[in-house]
Amino acid sequence: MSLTKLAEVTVGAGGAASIDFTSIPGTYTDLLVVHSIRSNQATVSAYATLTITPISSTYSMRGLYGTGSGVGSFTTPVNYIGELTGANATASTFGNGQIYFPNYAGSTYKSYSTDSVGESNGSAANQSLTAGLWSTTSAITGISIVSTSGTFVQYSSATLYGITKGSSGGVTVS
Amino acid sequence: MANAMVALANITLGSTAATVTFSSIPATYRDLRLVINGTVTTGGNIFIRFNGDSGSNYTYVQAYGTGSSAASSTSSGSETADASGVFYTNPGMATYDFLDYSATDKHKSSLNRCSVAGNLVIMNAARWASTSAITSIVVSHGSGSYTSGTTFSLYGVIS
Repeated sequence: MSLTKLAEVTVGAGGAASIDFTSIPGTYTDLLVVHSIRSNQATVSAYATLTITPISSTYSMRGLYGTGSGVGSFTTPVNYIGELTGANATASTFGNGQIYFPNYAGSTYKSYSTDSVGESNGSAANQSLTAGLWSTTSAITGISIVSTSGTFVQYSSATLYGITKGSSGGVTVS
Repeated sequence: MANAMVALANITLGSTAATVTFSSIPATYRDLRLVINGTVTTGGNIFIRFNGDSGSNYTYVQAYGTGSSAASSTSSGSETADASGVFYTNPGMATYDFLDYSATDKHKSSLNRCSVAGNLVIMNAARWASTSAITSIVVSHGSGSYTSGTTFSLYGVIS
């Protein structure tokens, strides 16, 4: 199977400051995180950052965003990974997004991409795309999605998948 | 448990290469996903050619951010006018989703993301004006070559 579910986290009634995936094995080719998160921060749009284990630094990023009334590009925070909904967003709406890490266990620097949207019927709903780089040759063994203000509310969730390259069906590559 | 996504082919370049070709792609799946990770010798556009078609049958619309500015553009023409993404000497990745690639009753749409943290983030929506099923994909570059260690992985998505 090329797409394997590795772990799933759902936030309980007490909320959580982060969603964490630990002890990630190095046996897959790529990683995919899919998330659905709402924050209790008193705002319509919130955002999250990324912490990668074993080294929690050396990030860089370029992002593109749209607000419904404007567009722009940004480079900070360097470990930004996506838009969420905050406490003032339309009730029962959660931001969603995904993070893709190719060759996460390799010995080169780790590129990653993120897509996210903070869904709301209000005017402050945001969408963003980012290009990220973790300038470390270590394999990724842990991933944390971290709240920047407040906590993630109950029912926020994230799922980690492993993707395995291979060959089948007679397709050739050269 | 049925496989939703099947690995079809992959290559890790052992030396610099100007092109990578996937061929003999069966019509078994609904969509295709291509993932590229690495660098090129000189920054510039990624080109995608289907079934050897070098005609003016490619169009795209894109939006991108450089970190300080955002812009959008569109183009049509041959693959050399269809900037299906960009790669640089800085590490980057690209994902392509070729939707309904095996259908013979529609033109082929694709959605592409290129992410190079040292340069820009870009998204493209592209169309190949052909009702033929995609049986081969040639990935080339407009300015340089893909460096050793760059990886190309192709997956089939089952409907």
